[in-house]
Amino acid sequence: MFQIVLVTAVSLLLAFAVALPILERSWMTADEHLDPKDAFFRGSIGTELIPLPVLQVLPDLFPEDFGSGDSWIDRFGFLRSSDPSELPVGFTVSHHRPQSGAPSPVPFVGFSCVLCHSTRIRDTGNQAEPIVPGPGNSSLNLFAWIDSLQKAIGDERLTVKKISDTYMQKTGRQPLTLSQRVMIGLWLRGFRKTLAEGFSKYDEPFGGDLSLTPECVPTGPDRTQPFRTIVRRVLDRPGTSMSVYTKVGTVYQEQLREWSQFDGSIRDLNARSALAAFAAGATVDNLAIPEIAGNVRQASEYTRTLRGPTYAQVFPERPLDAEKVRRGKAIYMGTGPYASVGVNGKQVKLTCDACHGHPENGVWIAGELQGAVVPWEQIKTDPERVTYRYYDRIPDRLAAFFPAKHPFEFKREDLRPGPTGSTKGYINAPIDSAFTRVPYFHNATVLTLAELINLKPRRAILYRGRNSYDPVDVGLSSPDSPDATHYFRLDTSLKGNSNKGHDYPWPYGSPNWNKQQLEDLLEYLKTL
Amino acid sequence: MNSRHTRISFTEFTNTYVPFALLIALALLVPETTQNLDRYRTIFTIWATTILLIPALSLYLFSDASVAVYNYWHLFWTFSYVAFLFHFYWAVFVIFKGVHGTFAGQGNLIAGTNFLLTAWWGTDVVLSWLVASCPTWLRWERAGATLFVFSIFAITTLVLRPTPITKALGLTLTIAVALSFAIWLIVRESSSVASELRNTR
Repeated sequence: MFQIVLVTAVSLLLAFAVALPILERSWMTADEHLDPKDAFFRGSIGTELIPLPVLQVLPDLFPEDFGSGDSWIDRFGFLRSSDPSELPVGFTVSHHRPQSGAPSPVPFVGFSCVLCHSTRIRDTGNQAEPIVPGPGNSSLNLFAWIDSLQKAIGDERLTVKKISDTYMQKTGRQPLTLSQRVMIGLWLRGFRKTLAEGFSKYDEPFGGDLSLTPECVPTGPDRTQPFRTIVRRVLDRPGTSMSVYTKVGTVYQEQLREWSQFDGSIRDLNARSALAAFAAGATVDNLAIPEIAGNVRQASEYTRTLRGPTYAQVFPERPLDAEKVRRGKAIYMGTGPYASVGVNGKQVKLTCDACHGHPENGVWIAGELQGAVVPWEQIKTDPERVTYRYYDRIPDRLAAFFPAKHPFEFKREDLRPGPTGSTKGYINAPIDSAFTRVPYFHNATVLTLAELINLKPRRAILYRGRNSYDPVDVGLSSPDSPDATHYFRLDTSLKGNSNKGHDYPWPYGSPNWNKQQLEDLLEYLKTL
Repeated sequence: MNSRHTRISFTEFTNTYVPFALLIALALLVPETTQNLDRYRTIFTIWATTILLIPALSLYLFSDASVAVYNYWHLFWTFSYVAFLFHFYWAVFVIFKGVHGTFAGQGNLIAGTNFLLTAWWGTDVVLSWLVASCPTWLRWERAGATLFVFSIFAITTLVLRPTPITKALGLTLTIAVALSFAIWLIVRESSSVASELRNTR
C-alpha cells in the first residue's frame, strides 16, 4: 500500500514538474518584433521590477512613501501619459520575471528606454504637450522612487493577501488567480531576501520624504549613479562611497558618436544600450532572451538617427534674431583660446566648432577635435566620474561578465580605459538640438546655456524638481528657495557636484569677456 | 537466463521509478528559484541522469547474476535514458533552438557525439525491451553502448565541464564503475578457479 501511495505521489509531482514548463510558455505572448521606435518607447529591455498589481496598490498602502492617489507620478517626476488610465511614460508591462526573464503568470512592470530618455520641454502640466524622445527626463528622480519602493516592499505589513484585497477594491477586477498570488508571494520573498542581504553593505532604504532629500539620496532629478549597480554586481563592492552623479544622457544621432558616454568609454552602439539596461537592472541572463535582446538592438537603431527638435519648432512664438545668429555663428566658429592638444602637442584654437562641430544643410559637420577625450585637468569640470576608485578596474571585469556567444558579448577594445585609450576626461561630442540637452555638464549642474557659456554667472545652489523651461536663458529655471515643486537642493560645492570648468569662450568676468558677443553666441546656439 | 524478459516486481519498479521521478521533478522545479530557468533545467537534468547512471552502469556487469539484479539494471538503464531525454530536449530544442543550432553552438564534434550517444543509447534501451533473447550481437552492442555512455559521461563531467558538483558526480560514477569492474573480475576469477577445481576432480 505504501509503495502505491509513494509511486502515486511522485507521479503527481513529476506530472506537475513536467506540466509547469508547458504552462509557463502559455503565460508568454508570442515574441513581438517591435520596430525601432516601438522598441524604444515600449519594448522590455530586461528591467522588470515589480508585479503590476503591486505597483497599482503600493501608493494606496504606503501613502507616506508615495503621496496620496497617483500623486507619486509627479512626486518623483515621471511623465504622465496622455491617457490618464495608462501607466506613466516608459513603464512597460511584460510577462517576464525580474532578472531571470522567465515567464510569469502575473504581468511585471519594467522600464523602456523612454522612461529616462524623454522629456516635455514645455512642461506646463498639460499632458497634451508633446514628449520629446532623446534627452534625459529633467524631472525624474528615479533613485528616490526606487528608495521609496524598497522601503515599502520591505515593510512586513505588505502581504500577498493585502495586495490582492486592495487590488480588487481599487480596480474592481477579478481577484488574482492562485498562480498570480503564488508568483507575487515568490517575488515578495525574493525581493525582501535580496534587500535584507544588502543591508549590511548598502544600508536600509529611507523612504518617506527622506528619499527626496540630497542628504539621503544625493542623486536627484535627471541624474543617475551609473556605476553603482555595475560596481555592486560586477565587483561585488558596496559602491556607496562614490560621488559619481551623471546626467541621463541625450541619445540623439548616436551615429555621430564613435565613442559614447560622457567620458567616451563605450564604442559599440548595441553594447552601450545593453550596458545602460544592465545598469538599470537587466541581467546577463535576461539580456540573452531573444525578445529582450531584439528590443535593445531595435531601440539602439532608433537612437542611431533620432534627431531632436529645433528651438523654432518648440518656441514658434520666439523668432530668432537673424543678425545676432549670424554674429553668434562667427563666434562659435572662430573664437576660443589656443591650446596644445594630443601627444604631439599640436596648437589648436579651441573654438566651439573645433570641439563640437556644427550643422550645415541638415548634416552635422564634425569639428577638428570632435570625439577626442579632453583630460579633466584641462577642461576642469568635476573629476569624480573619471577618478572614482574602481574606474580602471571596471572595463576588464565588465568585458568578462558577458560570456562568449552572448548577444551582447563585446570586445575589450570597445571599452575604455583600456587598449584603445586611457585618458581620464570628457569627450567632445556633437551638440545638435543643444537647447533640449538641459541641464548641462555631465553632472547636470548648469541649468542654462547662458550659464554654460558664462554669459551669466553659474548658480552655486540649484533647486531641482519639476523646473520649467526658460526660453530666454535657454535651459531650466530655478527659484532662489525651495518649494513643493523644486524640492531638491543641489549644492555645487559638494563632491561630485562641481559646476566649474569648461570656461569657453571666456571665463565669466575675465578681461576678454564680452556680453554682447555671448548674447550673439547664445542666439546661435538656439539654432543648433 | 535464456529469456531476458523477466517479470519486474512492483518493489523493483518503485525503487527505481521513485528516485527517477523525484530527481526529474527537482531538476525541473528547482530552477524556478534561479536566474535562468532553461539553463538550469538543462544542467539539473544531466545531473539527474548521471545520478541514475551510477547504479545502472555499476550493475551492468552483474546483470546475469540474478533476475533481480537484471531487473534493477534494466530499470535504471531505462530511467536514466528517459532522464537524459529531458536533458536532450532542453539542450537541443530550448537552449540551441534545434538541431542546426546545436551543431552551430557546440561544434560538429561535440554535437555529433551527443546525437550519436542519444541514438545509440536509445536504440539499446528499445532493444532491451523488445528483444526477448540475448544473442551475441546484442551482447556486443550493449557492451559497446555501455562503454560509450560511460566514457562520454566520465569525460564530460571530469574534463569538459568540471564544476565542483559535476566533478563529484563524475568521480562517484567512475569510482563506482571501477569498483564494480574490479569486483566482477574477482568474482569471475574465483568462478573460473572453482570450475577448474571441479573439472580436476
